[in-house]
Amino acid sequence: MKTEDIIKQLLLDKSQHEAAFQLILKEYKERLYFLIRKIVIDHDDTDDVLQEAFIKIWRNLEKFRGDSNLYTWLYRIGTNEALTFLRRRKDTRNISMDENPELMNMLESGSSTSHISGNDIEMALQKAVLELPEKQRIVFNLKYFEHLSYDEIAEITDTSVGGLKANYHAAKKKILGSD
Amino acid sequence: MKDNKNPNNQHPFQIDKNYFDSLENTLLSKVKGDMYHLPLGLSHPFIAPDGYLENFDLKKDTFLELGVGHPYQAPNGYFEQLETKVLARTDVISKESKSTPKLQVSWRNYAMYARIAALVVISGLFSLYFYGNSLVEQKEELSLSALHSDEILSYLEEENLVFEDFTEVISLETDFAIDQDQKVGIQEFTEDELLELIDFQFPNEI
Repeated sequence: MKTEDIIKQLLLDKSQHEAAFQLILKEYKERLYFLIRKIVIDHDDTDDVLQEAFIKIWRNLEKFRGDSNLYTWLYRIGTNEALTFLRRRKDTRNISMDENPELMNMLESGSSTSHISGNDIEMALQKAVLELPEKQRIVFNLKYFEHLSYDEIAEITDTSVGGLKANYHAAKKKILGSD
Repeated sequence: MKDNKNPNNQHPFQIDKNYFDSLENTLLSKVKGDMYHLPLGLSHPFIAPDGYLENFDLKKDTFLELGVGHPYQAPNGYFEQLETKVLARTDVISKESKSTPKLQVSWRNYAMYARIAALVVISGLFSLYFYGNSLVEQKEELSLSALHSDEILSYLEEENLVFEDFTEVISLETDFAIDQDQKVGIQEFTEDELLELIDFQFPNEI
């Protein structure tokens, strides 16, 4: 039996929610960390957002509909939390959501203390991704790095599959066209 | 008849002195048959154009096909600590929800607005408590400790409030007291913001 199925079964019984949550935490902490990290870039910010995402998951376990995928629900919460975090910060600095100067600075100043260590190709790809508009960036991350299908991404982002395909191809084109 | 044959030489056959040393190589080359082998150390005749290897780059349209990873790492031991931190926070939430009955109200419920009004009254009292020093004589100052706990409880009961509402206002006022420079008062919150404080609901997108 897959872990996701075990968690879903536990969620059917409210008295088992604590056990279900512990399994969710154990099973998905790393995946959610890197999902959020690719959006907010900085480790400390990721830590804050990830903790808030797990608290939200804990508070909303009863709202999870058993007929949908658990991980798409979790990814949705993680993505929403990360975007909300960025929006709040950008609102205070009056920066558009499609511009990421502060994230670019964090990436470019990458060092061992900032826990960024990649080869030239990985760094170049991240910089190109950061130059994408918000929606394309999210779709690209979910498709390229998380290897999710368009149907799964549609569930996470509430967007039509056609729109997602268009966004993904536009994102790829921009990345390949960037220096 | 005396046998003077050497025990290692009990047959009449003889071989060349280095026969066994070269046997292995001879057999291997026979097995490989007619295959042509370049003698060791011989180079090939191909030459890359000048600067080609230095400037070698992936074709851009194949770049993404490689399955490029990301450069992010988590600090050592981070995920173990994360579990502990999150579980500690959920434990606190669970204990709080067990010790305090949940306020179940409808957003459209008229009674809710009555509660908001009551909250504003309470906040006014506490504003006086925290900011009233310059306006009220010291001897006339309203003190929370002067209120009997039964009086507070009966007020809450009368107004259909729970203790959570009461503590929420206290913590709000304390925060404002700390940040005097901003001169923010609870009256500056909108009705919706106050409602969220009492009955926070997550957006529908979850």
